[in-house]
Amino acid sequence: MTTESPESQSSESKTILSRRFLLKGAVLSAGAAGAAAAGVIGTGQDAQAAAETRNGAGYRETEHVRRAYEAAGF
Amino acid sequence: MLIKKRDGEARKSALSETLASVAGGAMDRRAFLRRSGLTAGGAALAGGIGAGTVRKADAAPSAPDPKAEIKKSICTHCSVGCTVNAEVVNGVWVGQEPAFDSPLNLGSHCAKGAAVREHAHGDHRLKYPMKLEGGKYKRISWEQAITEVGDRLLKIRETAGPDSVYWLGSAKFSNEQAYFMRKFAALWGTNNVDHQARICHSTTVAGVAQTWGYGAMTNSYNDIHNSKAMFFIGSNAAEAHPVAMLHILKAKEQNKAPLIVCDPRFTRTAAHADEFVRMRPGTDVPLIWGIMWHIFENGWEDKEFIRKRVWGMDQVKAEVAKWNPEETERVTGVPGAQLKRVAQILATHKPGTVVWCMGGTQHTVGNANVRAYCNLQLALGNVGVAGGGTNIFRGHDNVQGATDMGLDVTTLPAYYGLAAPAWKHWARVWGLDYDYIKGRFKTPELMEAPGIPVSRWYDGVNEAKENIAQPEPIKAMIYWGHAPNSQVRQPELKKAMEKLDTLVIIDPYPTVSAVLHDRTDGVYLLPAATQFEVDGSRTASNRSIQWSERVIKPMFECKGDHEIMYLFARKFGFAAEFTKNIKVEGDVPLIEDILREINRGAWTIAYTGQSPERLKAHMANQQTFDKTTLRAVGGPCDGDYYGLPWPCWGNAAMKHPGTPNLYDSSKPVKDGGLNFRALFPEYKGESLLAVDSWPEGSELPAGHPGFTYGMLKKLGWDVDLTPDELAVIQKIGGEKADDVAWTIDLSGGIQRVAVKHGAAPFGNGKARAVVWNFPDPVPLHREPLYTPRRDLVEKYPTHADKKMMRLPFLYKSIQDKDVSKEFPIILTSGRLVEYEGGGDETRSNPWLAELQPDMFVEVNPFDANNAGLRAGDYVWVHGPEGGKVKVKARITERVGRGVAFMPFHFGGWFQGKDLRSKYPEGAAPIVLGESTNTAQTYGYDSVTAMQETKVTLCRIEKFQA
Amino acid sequence: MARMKFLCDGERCIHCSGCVTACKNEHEVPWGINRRRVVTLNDGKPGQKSLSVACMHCSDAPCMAVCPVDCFYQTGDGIVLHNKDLCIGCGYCFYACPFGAPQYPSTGNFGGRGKMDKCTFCAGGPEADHSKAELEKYGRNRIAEGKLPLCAEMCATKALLAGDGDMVSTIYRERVLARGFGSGASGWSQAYGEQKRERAREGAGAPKDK
Repeated sequence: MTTESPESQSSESKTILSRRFLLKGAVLSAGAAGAAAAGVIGTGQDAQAAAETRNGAGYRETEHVRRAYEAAGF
Repeated sequence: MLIKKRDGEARKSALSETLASVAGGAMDRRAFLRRSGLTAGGAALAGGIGAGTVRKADAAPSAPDPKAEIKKSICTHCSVGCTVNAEVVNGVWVGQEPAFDSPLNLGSHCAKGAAVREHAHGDHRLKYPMKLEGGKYKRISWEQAITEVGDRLLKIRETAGPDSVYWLGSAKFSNEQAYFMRKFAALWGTNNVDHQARICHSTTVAGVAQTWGYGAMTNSYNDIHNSKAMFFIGSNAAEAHPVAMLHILKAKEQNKAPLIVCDPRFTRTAAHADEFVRMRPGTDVPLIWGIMWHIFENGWEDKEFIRKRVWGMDQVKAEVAKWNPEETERVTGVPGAQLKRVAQILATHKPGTVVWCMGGTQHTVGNANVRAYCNLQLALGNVGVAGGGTNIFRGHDNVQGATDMGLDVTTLPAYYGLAAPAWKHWARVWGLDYDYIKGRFKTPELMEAPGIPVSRWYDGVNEAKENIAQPEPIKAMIYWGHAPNSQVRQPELKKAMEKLDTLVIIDPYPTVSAVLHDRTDGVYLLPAATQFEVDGSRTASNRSIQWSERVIKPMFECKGDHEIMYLFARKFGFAAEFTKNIKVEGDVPLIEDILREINRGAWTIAYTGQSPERLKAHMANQQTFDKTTLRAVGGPCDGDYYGLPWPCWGNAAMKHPGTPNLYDSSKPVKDGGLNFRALFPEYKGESLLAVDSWPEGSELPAGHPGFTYGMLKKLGWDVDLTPDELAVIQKIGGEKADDVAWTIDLSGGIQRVAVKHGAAPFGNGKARAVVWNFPDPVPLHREPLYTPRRDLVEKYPTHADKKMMRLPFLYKSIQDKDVSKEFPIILTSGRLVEYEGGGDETRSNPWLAELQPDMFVEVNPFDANNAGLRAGDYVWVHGPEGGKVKVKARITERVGRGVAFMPFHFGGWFQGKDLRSKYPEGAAPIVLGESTNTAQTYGYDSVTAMQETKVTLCRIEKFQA
Repeated sequence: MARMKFLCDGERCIHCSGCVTACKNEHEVPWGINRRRVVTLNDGKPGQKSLSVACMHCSDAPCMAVCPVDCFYQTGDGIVLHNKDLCIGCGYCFYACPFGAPQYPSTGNFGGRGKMDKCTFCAGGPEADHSKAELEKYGRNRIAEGKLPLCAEMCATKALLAGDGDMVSTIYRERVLARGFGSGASGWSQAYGEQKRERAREGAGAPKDK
């Protein structure tokens, strides 16, 4: 397996990121209306911030998750 | 950078919308299951389901359902005893969640365990009773099935006697079902009743019990956490008991415990070993003696332990002295320096555990192999200590339990044997007249004579009548939860199936039994429920008994095995006797009542304290048990060991916690301590009782025999018996009440009083390094019947031919024929992680079948190139008895030069012919393939008739049609 | 904010494929699609090592970079998901992925692969959580249920770890300390580049001490 340096990876991905968010806006307005209304279009940094603030149903450290960690650490 | 609706309100509405559709969705799914099962037969396998979708729309509810229940069941695929947390909505099994609370598996599963929900799809299952008519399977009703099968069997009983019907049970039964079937066979009037243990660990059970008392795993998977060294021989736990590796790798990491793996193959377990010992198949005894040679040579044995607790080690030492490094290497192929290193590791890393499986047991010398392993541990003083012991990993999830319940040709439940006192004991438990049971048998002699072992049932059909020690040969075979393709000599088995009057298959799957033969009629297929469709207790390898809750109702027209037994008992006219103490609801006997009857009778191994209520409480409070000691800390089960591992002395009211590690004298008996059992208090005038050794706190600080009422009186402990207990003892004993022993006292009083005073009810004896009542009292090396080492046959010959278990057993006359020129490669067999046993269940499961689509043979590159074989090509593997199989070649250094390996889970092909078209419509497993046992050969253990599957010879050729 | 990660401990993995069937069971992934698989290197020889492999949900995911229709997105938890409605089955992501994660329902010439499918970290797709559409296209959404990927939760030997990257590395680090050596946490640095320094600190990947 090949490994790129972290620097080259991140610089390359930055240019692609902006293109992605343009497209994403189009997707959202067509598909998920609710998210579009919240206005996700913007720079990478903005989008990141928006995602973080609206990520209610993502990962949560529930009782179940704590038990999973406990078992894994056994 | 999120494009998903995540705000609270939107999510809420989405959820409620989903919930609204869930009930309907679940119903759809159930309807779907019925539909697909009964008509379509599950054709939709290959390919995706339309662009972009991964699953069918009606597959399952999408959101966590508030109505979802978690049912706790036990995985069916090995003996670790993994808890399966099944998520059930509206009676449909919709998901599996990890059972983090189980102290045995901590939520873990292997490929099979993580896929058991597929049972509830059942696309390839047997859906209704069927009958073979004119070569085609046709649907019939249950009523017709019971009537027709019943009439045929009754006719055989009348004309040939009850012994001409063979009742082959299953390690897939719960304890209650296994016990029920043994009782059923007794009332039918035969000892021809057996199950998979015969061909799995029968040599262990016999050899280990005769050595020190009980033929079972001494410690537990969890107790391996305490091991400082781990010695595996003939066990590929990474594939056969994957979740056991959780505990093994923990010891390896935390204790820096070296893992030593002895095996002819570099297995996935060996890949994790610190020391891999590649041995020639069939040389276990010399290998162990070769290790012990270094132990004795250097004085590394535990002399004090041997003095106090072992009898006969001097005789073993004399035999071991013959196995110097040169001779050991000559026979086993293992370099002397490596075995010296292994011996040193074992001597300096104590306590160490010894683990073995089929690689040790499935030999003509299996009973000697297992005793050699025991002797290694006895010499090291590694028995009866946490972290030590012989951790014998059993195969099926309830093979330990089914063995304990006496689904066996040599004994009644709980190892009572077949002599008159045993029958009288069980007659008392059953509330039946001994003479009534005796009258069910053809003769009183047959009542006390071991039956024909399952490993030989087909010889009970094919053998000349005058060679079979019962009135008539076997005429009807009932395959009740057993794969035929796991038995060697398939061509002979096929012939027997064709010769039978009646062949009945009772199973969730049609199994290879439905298709192997070329019969056109006289075959019945009865659909049994899987264990996920019935309640019952199941005994894990470590003797912990777990209550397995029914997940779903029996699918299709399937019925629980105990219900089918009841229906037959009614047909045969002994239903009332059969269920005298057991409530029957409709046609379904109450499982809890069956367990209560077991509790009232199984005193020898103390399956008596494990009431249904206590077992259920353990399952409900799994989280309170320590994951190393298995002992509950606080909570409703405080002080109990998980699953009340037997022996759990006395009755349930006595609240014995169970025995986690057998023979551990560092604890009082009441807390799970023990000593070796005094099976034989003396031999030729010499005492075999323990010397200067007793369980902590015993008021009888000496060796002693097993307890009787008379012994209690001598000790003055009889005053502790309650009037009720005394009354029971006097009723059983009559004039000879003093002789009433701890094994037949139905009150449990003798056990209670012995334990109260700190003494083990079964006496306090020495372990027997020499089992004088076996053919080789000190284990001896004997070359396999089919050996490539003709140069060793003269010095290490096999046994003389003999007769036992109603049949002739050949040894010398087979070994005398030299076939090693035509068949130069050693053939051995074993397990794959994706499949289990004969594989009918697992090869029908698409999630598993996809991972192992082809039967194969592993060949070393050296042998492959010599024979002109290419990887992936079909080859013929020819056995020396004429059987041959068409399989794909896997060329790998996993096997050494001169050794080939085949897995034993495949079936449905026979000598190059695909039998798929013979299955009932829609019920063929997804993956079919040759059974290795078609090429495998004759050979049976000299004590238990275990089949030899681990060493024979073969020739491998390029495939030609 | 937690960053979701997978880690497969090569010292623990026994190639039992529990992770593979757990995934099949949870999502009813059809025959031929394997979101997760186990690979064994040096099979049958000393040095044999097994690893469970699926989408690692990389920090800077190459699949995202190459997708011509930009169907990928990354959640705030760092989970890399994709939109099947946009996917054209071109296969670029498959070529870009260092773990061979993307799967296609059919193989054919000229782009007839069908919609790409891959591990979702049990987090569904762009549709509403627990919606029927999400279930059909991506499988169950355990993350939204407050759970972790089932493959890791059910791993026979706890070789496969999943969850909050900090928790995962804590569990792994304790294990490495107990046994005195690491197995290199294969793929970890490739997926989550910044972890390289952490690995160096642990001494992971050091030669096995025998």
